[in-house]
Amino acid sequence: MRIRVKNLTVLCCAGVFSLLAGVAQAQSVSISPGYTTIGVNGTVQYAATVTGLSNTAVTWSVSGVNGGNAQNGTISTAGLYKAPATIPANGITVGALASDGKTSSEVYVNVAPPGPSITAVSPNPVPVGQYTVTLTGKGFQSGATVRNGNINLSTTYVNATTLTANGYQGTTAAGVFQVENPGSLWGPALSVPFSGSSGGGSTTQTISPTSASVKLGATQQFTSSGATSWSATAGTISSSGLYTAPATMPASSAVTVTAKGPNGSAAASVTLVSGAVQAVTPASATLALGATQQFTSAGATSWTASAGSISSAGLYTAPATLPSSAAVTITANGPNGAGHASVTLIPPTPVITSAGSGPLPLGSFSATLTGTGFTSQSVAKLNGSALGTTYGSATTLKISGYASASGSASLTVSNLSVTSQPFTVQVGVANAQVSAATARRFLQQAAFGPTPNDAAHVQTIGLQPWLTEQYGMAQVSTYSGITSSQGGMPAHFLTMAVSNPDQLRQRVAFALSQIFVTSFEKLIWNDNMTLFQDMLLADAFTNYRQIMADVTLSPAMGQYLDMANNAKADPQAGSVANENYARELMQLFTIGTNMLNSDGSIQYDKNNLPIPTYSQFTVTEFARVFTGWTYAPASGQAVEWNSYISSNGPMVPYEAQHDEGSKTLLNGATSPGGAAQQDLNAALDNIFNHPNVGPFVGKQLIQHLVKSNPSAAYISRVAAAFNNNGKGVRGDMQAVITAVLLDPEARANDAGSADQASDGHLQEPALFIAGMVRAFGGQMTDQNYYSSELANLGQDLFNPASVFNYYSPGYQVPGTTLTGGEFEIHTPNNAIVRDNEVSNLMFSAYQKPVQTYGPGTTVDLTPFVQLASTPATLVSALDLTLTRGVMPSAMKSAIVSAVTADASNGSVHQVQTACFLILSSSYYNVWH
Amino acid sequence: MYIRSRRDFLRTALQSATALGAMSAFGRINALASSGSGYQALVCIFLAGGNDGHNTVVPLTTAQQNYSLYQQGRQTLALPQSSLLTIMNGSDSYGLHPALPEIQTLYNQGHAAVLANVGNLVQPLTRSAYLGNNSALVPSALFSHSDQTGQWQSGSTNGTASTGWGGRMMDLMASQNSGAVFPSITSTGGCGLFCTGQQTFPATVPPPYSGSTSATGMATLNVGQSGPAGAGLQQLLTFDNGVQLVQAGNGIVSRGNQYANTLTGLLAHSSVSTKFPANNPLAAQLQTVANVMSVRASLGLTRQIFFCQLGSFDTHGTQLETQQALLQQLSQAVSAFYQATQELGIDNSVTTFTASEFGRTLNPSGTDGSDHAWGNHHFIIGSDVKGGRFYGSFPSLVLGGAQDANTRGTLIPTTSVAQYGATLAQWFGVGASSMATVFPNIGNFTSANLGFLG
Repeated sequence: MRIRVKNLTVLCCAGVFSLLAGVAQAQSVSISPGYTTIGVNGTVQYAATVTGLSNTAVTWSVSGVNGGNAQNGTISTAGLYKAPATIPANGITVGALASDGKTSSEVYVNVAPPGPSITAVSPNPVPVGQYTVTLTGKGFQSGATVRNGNINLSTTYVNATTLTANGYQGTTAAGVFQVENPGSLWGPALSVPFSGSSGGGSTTQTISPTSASVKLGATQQFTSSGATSWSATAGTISSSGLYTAPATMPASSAVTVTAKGPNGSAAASVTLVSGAVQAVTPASATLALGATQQFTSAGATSWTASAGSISSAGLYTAPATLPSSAAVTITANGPNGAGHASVTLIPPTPVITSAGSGPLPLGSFSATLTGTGFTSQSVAKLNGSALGTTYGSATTLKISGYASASGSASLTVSNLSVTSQPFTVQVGVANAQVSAATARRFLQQAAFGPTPNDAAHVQTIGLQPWLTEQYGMAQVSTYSGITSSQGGMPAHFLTMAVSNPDQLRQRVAFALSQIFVTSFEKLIWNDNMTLFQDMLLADAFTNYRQIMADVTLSPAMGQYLDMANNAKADPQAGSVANENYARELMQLFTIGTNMLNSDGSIQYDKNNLPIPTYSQFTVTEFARVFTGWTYAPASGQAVEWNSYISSNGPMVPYEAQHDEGSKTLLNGATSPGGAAQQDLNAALDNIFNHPNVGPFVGKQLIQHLVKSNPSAAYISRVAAAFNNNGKGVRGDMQAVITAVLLDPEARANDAGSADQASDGHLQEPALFIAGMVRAFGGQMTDQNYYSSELANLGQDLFNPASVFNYYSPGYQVPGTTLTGGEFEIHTPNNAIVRDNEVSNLMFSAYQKPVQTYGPGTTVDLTPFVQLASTPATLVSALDLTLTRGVMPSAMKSAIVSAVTADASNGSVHQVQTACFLILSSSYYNVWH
Repeated sequence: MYIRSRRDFLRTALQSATALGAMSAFGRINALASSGSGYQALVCIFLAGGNDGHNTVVPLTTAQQNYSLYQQGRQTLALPQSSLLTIMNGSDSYGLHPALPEIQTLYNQGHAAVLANVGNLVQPLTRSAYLGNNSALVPSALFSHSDQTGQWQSGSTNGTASTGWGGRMMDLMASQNSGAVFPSITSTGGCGLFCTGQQTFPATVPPPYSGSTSATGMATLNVGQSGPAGAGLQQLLTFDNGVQLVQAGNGIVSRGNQYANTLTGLLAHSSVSTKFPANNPLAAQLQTVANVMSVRASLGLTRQIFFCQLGSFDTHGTQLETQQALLQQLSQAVSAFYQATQELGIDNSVTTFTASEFGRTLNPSGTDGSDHAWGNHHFIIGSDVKGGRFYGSFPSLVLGGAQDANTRGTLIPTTSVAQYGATLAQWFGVGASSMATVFPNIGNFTSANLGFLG
């Protein structure tokens, strides 16, 4: 992870409404080293470089607290950080604040728990070549990785004390094994010798013992790593390699026992001899779990069992839980040597009683099965294809997988060879209100893209009812949990976008934040910005007039556009009221610079030039209105003029600095002036009622949610909804949003077969990152690394270079005649960075299905790995997941070819390649 | 454009130059004033937000006015006289902002000039004509950042252009760069309208990340180009499903990949040894420009335009501190860049010029800021500049006077952006007969060449 260089924002400026791109502040702080991982109580020495200030001293803080604390770690005034004694709950940042009290920088430090220790590796020595080892230790966690030297091995978690791993080493140099748990440091190393094998490579199947002398009727246990079948030329041999000699001597006393396994076949020679055997009776038994069986063997002095337990008197008790194999070997040691008997365990018969409360969603899914007879060996299948199955208890299993076709399907659970009766489940929505493709496309517009569950819900209830549900849902998303003074908001934005249920509220608030723009570039601290963004979230479904009022008096906007402490004109000093807020309120937040028709087109005068909505004079008149407001004092304190920035609620009036005279407003209206609040109300009413507001705001909402190039008719319909919600109310946000999302033009291409040349809009970086993780049902936490990555993509969230937003809504896409605001930051360089973001996440894990990018972002590709053996099925599954099932067949074929060509890299890599190709395609990046 | 071998590029570039040389005997080709005249580059430094020119160039003792008139209008924003850096324009003395000592030095060496009171104009304009409110005579949306930025960069005055004058110049110059394997316009500060022509699209080359040893911050694809993922990506770029924005996205990725491969292949590390100031975003951009210039021959380019930006000039408040820091960055960066062009032996071939969407009011708003205004003063720097003097007409700072659009010292420009740009364009090789393609309203002004370039 790179250090976030706050001051580097590379933006475009072009088009009718151009953008200011500031590569900005003169003062800066940078910290080294950058991102670091250390263990508890570990130390890191940081250094800060300050420029632009004569006093280069910095104040060090840890997660917003000067000097740190016991919980997050402490940092000395010289920048020596010491990690806490226990792993902190949240991500830790180290910050340096310069002597001006506002310029700063931060880096992440990852305090990781120690890794688990290994006590033994088997076999030891490890044979050179392709090898499989079993590691014994303690504290292993699911998802643990083993490495030999610097090479991560394909690892299987067995339990907290056992892992197996596969690898390849061609030399006899000692192996150095270490284990890391997810999120931990690497544990202590264990050095294990490697030994050469005959024939220069341990790729042959071996058998042990290679020869044995067995009495007639007696048994001999053979082992062969990974053997799947056993045969003997005389006598019998069980599936677990337990050989039973014939009772009478055959024609030849020489017997060959053969094991067939992954590396070929291996043979051992057995010589039959007569003599007394150590017989065990019974020779075999079939037992249920937990059942008992008495074995006898003359003169036996000790008994062992390969699973379950057996007393010294030969009373065997089958294990309570089903082991990985149903075949158990009982051994008695007595005067005639070792004798064996075999026990076959009867797996319990599983019964499925339910598969969750609703249908399985189409696409990738996870669900909980309830029933009886489940064991840790249970494997669920859907229509015969194995699902990821995790044992919960005898009565619950968690399943996950991919369901490719709607309709009824059959679920079974098997315990080894015993399979349940089939259980019928509905996949996808029965009696769907809208198609799967429609639901997914709708969620690209009204949410941060679909998840399988959300799409199923939209299909179940329909589009309008889903909107009603969202309008009625109380606000969930908030920044109020952010307590640090700087940093954390962009990461939290993404966390909420990926998982919070108030999706539409978040999308609308994000669009509003790009009309009513404020920026950390000037605000610096979190306090006012969190309040401002929370206000937009709270107001998203209310009325545009309400939003105008709340924005105008927000301390964030007061600071950003200089309305706070804006004094009326002072003729003696020769100063006049600051125009900044008055101008940008009209130009950017409400009416724009040119008179518009209701369909958003520009009106022209007799010289064929646009007609301005306001003159410079009007700006100065409104500037006079927005005088005499200041920051709210602390409770109980009097209002003070020129008070310092605070976040104690909306700004408050200070009448002595308010220009009370009458003003000329828009369209020739005059306001009598008067006290600050009434003057402000009249001014905002005047602007709100200007006919431009409907098309000006409506068009931008369409562009943020649906498409960059709406037709004039579409804009007219949305503007009409703004003007009157059907009940005589102007500015009703719910009416406008409904008009935007349910307009026939918005819905025209739901089935995917009606692509228009001017359709679509490019996903801006914040939508792209959130959507990519959401589509897979992935996880995002506040520890994610994407704050700086979004800046690298051209969208430094909440820190645009100017009030003209990250990009201009009117930006013309070079080489086309189309508008595409988001393309303004999609420079050729940023487009390559975006493809690299995809590969950083999707190719992050080697031969493991769970992809991560730092601790906060997880995408689990397991349901798709199972499909890799049939590339066409895999690509169809990803098509449904990412491109709503409407991908053109030529594009699908190309991806299928790539997946097929990738087969030698393994099934996980095939899935990763397919995901990368779709996610990096412009077909995916431009939602249409 | 497609990747060819370096030898091919150089061979073709030389062939073009030779062909032009041969044909010049028969008259002009593609409106070039000169042919085969070697390398030339223009570097635009856009000061985003509206730099306050009143505190950049201050009259001290001139035939027209003196410091005390300036101080009366400026009130709390006035810079102390003793802090100003004196420069002479003939017998008139002016003071540069105290943060500009390097530019003062270049001016005194004759390598920097001041262009006074330049801004967007439809045609020459008096105060009374301005106050007559005739939309045909006055640029639209005069005090709007976005519209004025668009007009400065497009060379049109009603904000509806889709190309910029840098791009249109390069459209005319295409034959000079016929062997090019890299775009002729490079931006280190976004892909602005200025950089876009009918056929010309810029390369965006960000400066390297702080602490990096790379010559540029360009990203190359992580995915191996030859494996199934890399090959699949290339194949998908060729698919067209009829949606133009999808096609546009494909074009951008394709170009991005091509530009990055070409440039990073040539420029893994900088060969320019001139030291640039650290922690200076404009210096980082200009250093990147110098790096790209250092491989111009391998890129097959004989004409280049560069676009850099420095921001935060919109000083509605805290103007004195903010402008001090920003102008210091400008001065130090420009000086280092000039030295780099000397190191590369191309200081006669490179002309750097500043631009900004508008100036600011002489009269403050509140106590520590100023509002959007209009005419502004700018610098042109390079060895070919006939420096050490002013061009244009320095305005009277009388509030409400003949040069004031209102009563706050909002200067009505006396020189237009079109004339400014046309002077640069003519030096760059655009012939007089083609100038109207680049600057549609150049014909409204008496002189299309202000004379500050040799």
